[in-house]
Amino acid sequence: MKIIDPERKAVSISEFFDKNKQMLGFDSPQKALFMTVKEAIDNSLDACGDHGILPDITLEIENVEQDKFKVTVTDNGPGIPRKEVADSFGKMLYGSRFHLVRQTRGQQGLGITAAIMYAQKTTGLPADIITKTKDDVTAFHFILEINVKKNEPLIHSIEPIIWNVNSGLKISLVLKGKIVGGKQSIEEYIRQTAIANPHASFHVFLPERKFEIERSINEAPKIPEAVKPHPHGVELGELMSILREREKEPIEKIISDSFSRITSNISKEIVHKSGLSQKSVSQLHQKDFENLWNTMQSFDFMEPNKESLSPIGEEALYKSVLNSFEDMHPAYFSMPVSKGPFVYSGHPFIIEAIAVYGGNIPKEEPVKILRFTNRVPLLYQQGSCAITKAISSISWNQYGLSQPVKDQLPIGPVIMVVHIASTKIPYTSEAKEAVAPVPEILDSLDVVIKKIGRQIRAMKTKEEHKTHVEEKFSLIEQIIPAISKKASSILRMEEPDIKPIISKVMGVVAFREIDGKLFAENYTEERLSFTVLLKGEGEWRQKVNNLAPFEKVELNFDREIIDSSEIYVNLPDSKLLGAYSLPEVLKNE
Amino acid sequence: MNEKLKSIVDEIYNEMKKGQIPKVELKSRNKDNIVFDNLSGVWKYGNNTVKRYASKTNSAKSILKMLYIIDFIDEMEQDLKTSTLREMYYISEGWGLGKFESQDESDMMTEDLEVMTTLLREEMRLRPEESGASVIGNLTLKEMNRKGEWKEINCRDDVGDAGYTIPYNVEPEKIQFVSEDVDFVLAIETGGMFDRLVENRFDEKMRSLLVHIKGQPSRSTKRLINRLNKELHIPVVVFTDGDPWSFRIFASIAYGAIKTAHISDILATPNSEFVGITASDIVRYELPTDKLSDKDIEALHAELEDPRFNTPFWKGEIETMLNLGKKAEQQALAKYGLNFVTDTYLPEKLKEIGII
Repeated sequence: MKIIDPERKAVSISEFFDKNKQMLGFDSPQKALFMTVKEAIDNSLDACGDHGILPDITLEIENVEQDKFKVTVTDNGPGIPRKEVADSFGKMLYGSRFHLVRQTRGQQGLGITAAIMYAQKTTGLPADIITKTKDDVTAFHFILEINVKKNEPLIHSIEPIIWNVNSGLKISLVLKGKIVGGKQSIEEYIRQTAIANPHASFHVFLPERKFEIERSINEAPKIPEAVKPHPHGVELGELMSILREREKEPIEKIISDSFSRITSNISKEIVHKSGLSQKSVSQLHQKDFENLWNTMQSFDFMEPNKESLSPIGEEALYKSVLNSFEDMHPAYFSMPVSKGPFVYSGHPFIIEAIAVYGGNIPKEEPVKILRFTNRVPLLYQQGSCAITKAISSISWNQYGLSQPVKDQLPIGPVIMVVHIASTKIPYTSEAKEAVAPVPEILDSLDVVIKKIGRQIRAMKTKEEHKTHVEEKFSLIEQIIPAISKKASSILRMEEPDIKPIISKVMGVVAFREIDGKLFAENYTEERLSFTVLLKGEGEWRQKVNNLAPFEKVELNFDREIIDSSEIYVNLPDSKLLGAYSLPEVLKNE
Repeated sequence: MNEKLKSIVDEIYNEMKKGQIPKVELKSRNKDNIVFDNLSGVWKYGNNTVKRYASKTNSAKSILKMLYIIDFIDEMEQDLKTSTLREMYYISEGWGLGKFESQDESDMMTEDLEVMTTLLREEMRLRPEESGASVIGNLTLKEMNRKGEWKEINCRDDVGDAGYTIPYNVEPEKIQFVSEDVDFVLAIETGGMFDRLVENRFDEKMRSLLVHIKGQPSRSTKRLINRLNKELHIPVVVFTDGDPWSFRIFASIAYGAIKTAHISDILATPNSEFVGITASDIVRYELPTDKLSDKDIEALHAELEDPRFNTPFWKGEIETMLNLGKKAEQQALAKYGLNFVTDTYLPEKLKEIGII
């Protein structure tokens, strides 16, 4: 309890929880159940990630009596070696990765240990854990609780047990909780987690609902490298403890060893500039540490290494979103946008975003925003989050969405997914529910979201085109043929050739999307050659030569491009359906 | 197949054969195309026409629907069947793209066909549901029944207190007049007032034929009144509530309605008289009233612009009502007892308009 309770005063679990509610995130029964699920699943995903395993996670929540719930999470991760179980689950702040940085999901407060304590406090029942590593012949079944007074795990029993898996971990907790639906439900959490972790599969059994989510990609993400911290990312206190740990060694060596982007020459220069060339660590006073830290901050270093990050990746994000929103039958998906690394106080970050448009997404409601940091969904505190603020501060009218109130979310059939990956995310509070609106992050978000905005505008005009195109085609493919058929059958005459009528009704080259493919169809009375330009996240061109009347040609653009681009053609507007006439400025490019 | 219907199909087919976009053309049924026919004294469609080309989705759909109706009529002709408008609406469920969105749409398209062919919908084997309007009084008529026999009925002696029910078809092939002994027809808006006059034997006492028109009268009710007036030369008097909507009931009986302006000649009875309740009656008889609603006031203002009300009598009555800000029901006359309407009000008013 060194950090939580510096005076080592013995406290009961109840006291402990009451004192630390805010930080622990267990402040209501529904939040407690949610946090328990979240900590267990985040642990599973992290463990799989560290070992390049494609996660297969099963969540079961059983309502054992009234307000008591049994939460069981089973994964196919590496398992935890028998000797480390007690410390992994029972000791607070175990396993912090000091002095090295990389992107992790990061736990809230005390992570899974808090969940075990909460279960213990509310039902008196210990944690039930089964673990198997790939090197063990059998699995081991632990019954474990936490002795808060001594800050120690207390193992009730360990038994070998047969578990027919390569490796894995299963944890069961019984706690007092409450299940709620809606935006902050466990189901929403799992569904969003699946979006940010398209390599994971989930099997979920809730008291009144069960569902499966299959992984959208079969490749485990690259394991982020643990790297030395960037000199601009270190706090003064941290710098002091780094130096003191190796106080026998020369300062310049400690510094060049401990940080990235500092060579021994630069290190010498830093120490010299701070006036510490002749000193050893034990001689340093507070003032000296401050000088050293200030010098480090004032130096220009190479930007931090992005190998420590694990972004979702453009292709994975696209496939994931395609899969996740299938039920809403969206009309279009934007192309994913990924930008970075940007830098925020010595930490690199990458922003990824994508938008989904139309279909069954409500038209008259504010756009839906799904926020993620380091592959973890943020379900609370939307209003105070930098992501929401960055979106609200854009003037959406220029991107085709209505925004009745300035600096509020725009209205429209859009879901925006935004992910920030970083070695350190600045949150607004210890509960890690919202990203702090620091200028570097807001500015970078602005760049990325405007790119998405341009695609939203393209998707919107495409939808308007589409309605028009569909109406025309229903006229020539269904209604006019039906008139011809009916009139002929009443008169008992042969059906007339309706092609000339169709040319007269259309008189255009029509651009139609069928199953994600784009076709050009010539309904004029002459052969035509033209260039098709798709303009969205980029520009793509294709020439069509000598298209005969009533001939149809497929244009070879990928679905991602077709979905998120406006179509321009170098023919006059009066001859086009479903496309715009190419403006002069684009013709010469 | 009926030649007039066939010619519509012919034109569509021939245009398609020539590679032209098919169309239908008919008189505009818009309010702007209603003109007063001095000769007959009724309001009819003018000469403006509209063309519906199949190059527009909605027009193309309406052409297709029209073809389905024509085919359906032809089928009924071969099977010697008729259908109600509502039945046709349900039958259209099986017409694919030709399916009607609502019964209003199918009724409207049937009227379009009437306008284009000058056939009546009954001649196209389509009929409305019975409106249930009824007649009591000393009129003898004969009606062709289901068995194909003429059945003679006296509308006073052969019927119960509810009277003789007007069928949907009152054309001579269905109904013929045999004899009558009445001085005038009294068309009554509400059921309550009709029953009052029946109970008080107003038909016998004042030698009148009472027609319950049930609110805005159906085509067959208007047509029967038209025939009684035209063929038997019986004067027609309309007796309604005293409010703007009842004034419109009178106008539609006397001069015709926009929707049916193509058949005003056979539906409207231009020499009908309005007996009341007028705005002046409200003052003169000190009748119990209701306040005019905003909608009522709006309707009265619209009537001031309506050419059908462009007479000194109606202008005066409408303005009086607007000034009063009040309206009254027929049954408000009961303020002076159950016999007041038959003993005092109607005799007084009928004398003033010269009926008795």
